[in-house]
Amino acid sequence: MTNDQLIAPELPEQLDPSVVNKPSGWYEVLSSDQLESKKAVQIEDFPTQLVAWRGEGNKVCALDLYCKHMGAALSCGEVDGNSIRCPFHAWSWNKDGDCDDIPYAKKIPDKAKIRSWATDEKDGLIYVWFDRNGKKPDPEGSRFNK
Amino acid sequence: MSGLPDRFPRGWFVLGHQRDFPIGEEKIIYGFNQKILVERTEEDVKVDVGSGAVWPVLEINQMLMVWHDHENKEPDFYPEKIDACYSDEWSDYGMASFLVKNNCRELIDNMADKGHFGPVHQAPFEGFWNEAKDHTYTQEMTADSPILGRDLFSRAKYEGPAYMTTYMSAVHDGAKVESRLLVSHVPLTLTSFMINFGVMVKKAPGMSQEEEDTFVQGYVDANNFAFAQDVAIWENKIYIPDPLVCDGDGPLHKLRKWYGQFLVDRADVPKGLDMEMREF
Repeated sequence: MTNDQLIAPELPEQLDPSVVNKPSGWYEVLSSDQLESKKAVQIEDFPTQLVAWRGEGNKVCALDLYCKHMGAALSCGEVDGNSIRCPFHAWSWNKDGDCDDIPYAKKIPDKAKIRSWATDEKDGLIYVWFDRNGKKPDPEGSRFNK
Repeated sequence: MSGLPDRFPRGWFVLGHQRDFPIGEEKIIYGFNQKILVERTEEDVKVDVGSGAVWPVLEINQMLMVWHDHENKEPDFYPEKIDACYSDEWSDYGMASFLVKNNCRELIDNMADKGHFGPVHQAPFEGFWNEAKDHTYTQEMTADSPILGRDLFSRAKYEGPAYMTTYMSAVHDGAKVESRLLVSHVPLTLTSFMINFGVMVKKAPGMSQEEEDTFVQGYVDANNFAFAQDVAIWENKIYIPDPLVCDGDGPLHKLRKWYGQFLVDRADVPKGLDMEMREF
């Protein structure tokens, strides 16, 4: 053991989009072939941290990365139907960010909702719409390629 | 790093097994953002945290512990003696350590976190009870699992924020097996901690030393495997200060309030942290 042990690691965080100073538009996050069907990935190259996955209909879905229940990274979970299931307590979240299943609960809490992000797939690239104030996606909006 | 506690909790922290601190040997341990020198002489054990400050030391249940207190006051509680730690009917603790990159409070949630056993550990259970009393927090659990054993019963008890011991009994191949687990940790920084865990088993009649060692190592390996499942979560999560719980969750808010008593000055510890043993 060395003094390196006393260097504090940085912890994961979910940036608040409303304080991120980035322009509105479609941000390229992946190429289409980087996201296989039924797979979930963590997106770091975006104004906040996201999980993206392909559901059954091959549609790309994107939510804030961390589960609203106890904070685990949803990218470590599994795609279940069109939803993503958290690895920590198996809460399932659909593409709109609504919790659609908790295997051990009688009732899903009303407030169980995660911020969802609009996606678009075009010319072999996957884009996610960002607007810091949550404005609706504009199909003609700027495209920010890598 | 907003949202982190502004200090390390007050309590007893295990520096290691007594046998790892032999007489005349000076040992360096890192913890609490500093270098800690531990030296055992013929008479006693000295723990030097620099600038001449000396922290209270305790040797109990085979462990060497140190008292950390932000206010630098004398201990206001002590862990209970566990007879099995002094009995020939039980093995000694087999120990293992590993580093976790997060604040040490992450470890505590498991006590009330009924919902994680299935998804994280593939360990379904039948009954689940919690109790908070003064500086202690207890979890009892029953299960019937082909992997963990039939008629499984476990009682896990925290004494302070960092010293947890578990008694477990299960039936394997028709025979009752009793074991004890130690889960302790030392925070290195506010975003990292070292887990020191130990496992001991009750010796079966006629068991040779070699068989006993193999048996204990098997339990150490099994627990290492289970901790790795937790760590994969702990190192990829954010802290939710006010979790949105569902009807099937354990008393997470209650547990966190109990833990909070070790993060404030003694004069600021709120009343009403106790909770009678009940099923969740």
